[in-house]
Amino acid sequence: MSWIRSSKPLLAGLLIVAALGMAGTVAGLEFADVTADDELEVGSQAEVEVVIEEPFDGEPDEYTIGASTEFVDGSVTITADGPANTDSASGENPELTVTAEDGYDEITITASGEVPQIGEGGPGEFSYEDPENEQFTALSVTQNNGPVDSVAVDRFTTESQTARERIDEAVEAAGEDDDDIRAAIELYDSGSFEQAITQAENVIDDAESSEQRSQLLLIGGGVLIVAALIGGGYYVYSQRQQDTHKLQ
Amino acid sequence: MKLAMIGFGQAGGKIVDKFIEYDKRTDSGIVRSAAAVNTAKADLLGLEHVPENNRVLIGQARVKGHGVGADNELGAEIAEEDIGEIQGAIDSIPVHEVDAFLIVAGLGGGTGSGGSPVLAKHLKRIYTEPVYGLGVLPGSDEGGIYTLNAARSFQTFVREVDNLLVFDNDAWRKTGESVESGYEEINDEIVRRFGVLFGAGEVGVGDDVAESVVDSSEVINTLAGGGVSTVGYDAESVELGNSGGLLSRFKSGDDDEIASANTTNRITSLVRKAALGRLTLPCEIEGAERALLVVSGPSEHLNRKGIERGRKWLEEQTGSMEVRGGDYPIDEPNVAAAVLLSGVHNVPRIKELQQVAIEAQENIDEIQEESEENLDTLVEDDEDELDPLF
Ligand SMILES: Nc1nc2c(ncn2[C@@H]2O[C@H](COP(=O)(O)OP(=O)(O)OP(=O)(O)O)[C@@H](O)[C@H]2O)c(=O)[nH]1
Ligand SMILES: [Mg+2]
Repeated sequence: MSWIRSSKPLLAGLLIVAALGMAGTVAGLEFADVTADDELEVGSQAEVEVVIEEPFDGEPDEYTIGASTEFVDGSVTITADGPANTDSASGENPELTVTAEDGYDEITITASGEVPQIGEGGPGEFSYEDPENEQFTALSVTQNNGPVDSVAVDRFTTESQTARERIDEAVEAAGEDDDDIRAAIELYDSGSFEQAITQAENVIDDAESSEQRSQLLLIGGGVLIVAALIGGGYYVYSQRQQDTHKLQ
Repeated sequence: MKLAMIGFGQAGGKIVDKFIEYDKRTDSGIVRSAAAVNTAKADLLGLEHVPENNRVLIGQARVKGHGVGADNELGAEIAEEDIGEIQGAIDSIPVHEVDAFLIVAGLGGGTGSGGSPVLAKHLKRIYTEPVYGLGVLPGSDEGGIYTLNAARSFQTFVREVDNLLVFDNDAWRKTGESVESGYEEINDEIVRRFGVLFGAGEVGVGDDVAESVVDSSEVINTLAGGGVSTVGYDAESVELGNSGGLLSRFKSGDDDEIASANTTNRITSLVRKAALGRLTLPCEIEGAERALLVVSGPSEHLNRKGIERGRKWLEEQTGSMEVRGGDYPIDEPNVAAAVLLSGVHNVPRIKELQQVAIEAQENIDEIQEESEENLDTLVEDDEDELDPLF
């Protein structure tokens, strides 16, 4: 396997993630509607909301809904709503038992709080190639303690976002199969964004200057000959110099 | 660190010869003494730098100076018989001045493959200095017998040395190249990688003294505990600045910061490239028991932060808590990272080597049986009417 996936699947991956990477549904309950940002900045306050319609359609007459979140200082509220009754529970890990008799036709669950750090005590880890590893679970819902579904959202920090953009540009400029890009990605994955940015910018600069170089060479054939002569001279010079070199 | 190097067999002799040449050319100070041992006279004559007195021809009575023809059992036997002659050359080594022994051999042939584990065992019995091996694995296109030799020698050599540094010809083979010029380049690579590692701490004339020097005890501690080691390496050229010159006076603080960030970046990137690029023995670096990072280059292009980051990254990648690191200042326009990974376990290449060796062994047995039968059918007349002479 190559160390970086082609940017097309990467893009597709991003789109799927943007569509809120829903985990496979196990129980019968389903989110009819999900409200959440495509991606959230670490440290910001945010809220996500899901709605379950017709909660007794094909479900037992009585069951318990639970919900939890990875938001820091998160609070979760489960609200069951019907023409005659409403009921709700909230807290960090609220549970609400609902019965068909109450005639609820909609259950709304919201989670809010501060978007947690990526790694370093928070969930997930930085990964340029697999942005889904950077997601956190904003809301996870259970039915009788069995998983129903969850909402995972992409995250970023200002640094990681800039680094990702720079690396995207660098990949565009130099192609994927480049040692320096690989290094930039390694740096990104280890959270060294400043370095990753410098590394990526170096790649972009190199690519640009080599492009300019080839343009220059196209313009003047004479320049090419002179450059070759100088280059040749330098090569001989550096070969002589290199004799005592240890490193390369 | 200062080594006593012994090249065993043709490949071993050539590589030690190269080490001496590198040592002189670069003023590295790593080869304190060198010897070459072989069963083939021609191989010893072909050497250029190993002192003539330290070229030991063994097995003369048995193979008349013609080599053992890739029979490593014979190579081992001869080494055992003539160990006294080898010791004769080693006696001329001022052992109190060396930090360790390094026995170098191609493991696919006969003389070095069979003899070097025997010599390692002998040296360990006599001296307290560590005895390391540098074993060269054959290319996979060299054929079954070389693979079988290498697999058997590898097993024994690892057991007898304090650490076996491995170089895999197969990983470095280039297609469409003559074998000779191919080995030239490969041997340069071997010598450069191990030269930088072992050279760290040997401060030469005109070199700066390091901020956090790697010295020989760190190499020794990284290799202690035994097992198999591999080395990653990457280098990049830099411009030698004219510090104190006209330009530097106009340098603002910002420029300094950028320069320092670039230095850090360059180092961390070199470390990653060294560890993730081609190793002397390709393997999974995760699970390596110990590691040593040596960053070398002009001191203006070295900094503690870069080395520390590189070291931390190696810790994460290997999962080892024993990752050492330091610098090796050198006055030349290149910066390099050398990564020694010691006690590596996950080495698919060795498993493959062993598999092919087992198949080769079975094949050889089978063919031998068959050929005995064939000979019988040829020599005996069909009705068995002829009587032998006696
Ligand atoms: N890296 C490297 N490998 C070599 C070189 N020469 C030979 N080899 C490898 O070493 C193995 C052969 O070992 P040699 O050292 O030639 O054999 P020997 O120890 O002299 O033993 P005999 O010739 O059988 O007496 C082959 O499998 C080659 O892969 C060399 O110059 N460099
Ligand atoms: Mg030979």
